[in-house]
Amino acid sequence: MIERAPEAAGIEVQPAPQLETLLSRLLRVGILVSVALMALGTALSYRHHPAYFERTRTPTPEAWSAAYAPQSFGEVFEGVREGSGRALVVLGLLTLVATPVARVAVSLVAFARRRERAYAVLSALVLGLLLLSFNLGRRASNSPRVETQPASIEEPAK
Amino acid sequence: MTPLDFALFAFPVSVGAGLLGSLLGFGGGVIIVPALTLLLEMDIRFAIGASIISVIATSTASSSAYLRKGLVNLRVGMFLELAMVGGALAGALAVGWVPKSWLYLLFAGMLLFSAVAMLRRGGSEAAPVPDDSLADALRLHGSYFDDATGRSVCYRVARPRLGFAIMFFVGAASGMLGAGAGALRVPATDLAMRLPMKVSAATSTFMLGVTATASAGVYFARGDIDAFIAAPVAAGVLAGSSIGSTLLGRINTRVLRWVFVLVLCWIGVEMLRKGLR
Repeated sequence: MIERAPEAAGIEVQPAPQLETLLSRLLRVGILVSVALMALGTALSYRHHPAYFERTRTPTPEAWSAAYAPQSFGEVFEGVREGSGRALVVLGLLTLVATPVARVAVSLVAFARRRERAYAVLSALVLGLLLLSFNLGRRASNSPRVETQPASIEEPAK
Repeated sequence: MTPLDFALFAFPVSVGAGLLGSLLGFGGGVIIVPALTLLLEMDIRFAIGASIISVIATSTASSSAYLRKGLVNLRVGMFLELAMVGGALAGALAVGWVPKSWLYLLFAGMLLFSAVAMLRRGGSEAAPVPDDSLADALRLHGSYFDDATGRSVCYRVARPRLGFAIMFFVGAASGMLGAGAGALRVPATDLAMRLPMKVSAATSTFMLGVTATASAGVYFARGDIDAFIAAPVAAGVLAGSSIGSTLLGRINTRVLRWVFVLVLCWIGVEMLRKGLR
């Protein structure tokens, strides 16, 4: 790696990083929406359950872990409609997970519009593999769920 | 332990994980998983579910900053992403065929080798890079501005085929173990393709999000992602990696290299222990 003028090195300086700026903004929006949903959901839950504020010294979170880990979009949306704070938090987490996928989709469109065939194809392949993996994941999870701890704190349908 | 107890514990730990992850181009699972399973004796399923979320959070927050600063090599990222996601899928299908202890031992070897190689590479980032027609055709070469030295640095990318092959394998193997892609990518990005350290870390954070997303679907569908475990982790990691990503540009490359080598050795020894158990 040598410091010299890019032109002298015969290296094409990356063109105006419009795409980089666009993707950077997209990721930021994803984070903000996700954080907002998580914060709102957490606030709601804590309001419904004053017990969450208590401090205990028991070492493990067993009592409440797995109390609410919805497995499908249907479950999440239903929870949100019922005003469940936890469901809102999960919606925030899902937004976070969806953000990189959106980034790939936007890259695909951008590269296609710039007629960079190689990279449009690359993005399309990545997107295709991601969608395939979601499908495989759903299929794999149709096997019966492993029950861990009984749920001891229920989110009330309020 | 109430949700508040957990949040008060998980948030600072996650800030640390996000900070380190964004500086080194790791996901942060190396910190999250042991912290939750060893200190809190949490069920490994939920710990891994939270660590997948932490990888995505680190990746999203830091690559948003790195893209803006021009530290991410977008083309290299997209190129290797395909290898990793493809590998992760292949790994998911092949799970159970390869004994986990072998994978751990193999990974430990790779990590310790990377650590030594990174040390020896020391000041040789300026060594000539072999020409490669594919790298030229895909226009993988790039440049970035190093805030620490105040200079713009041009670099050429080498051996994209080898990098792609290693990344496929890393994606497959780390998919089977559920972690480790951030550290294991070093032989591909730094040693084979010769990306400068900072670009390699930034580009790695950029890629990790997509790879983790591929497995997040599986964990979510299995019910492994618990709202109250994952949310404080996500929040802490987002905060930590936002801080970390403002530092990477300014940090001295030599300091960064030392931290990097130490963390590589630590993860390598951990994997060695798991493999021998």
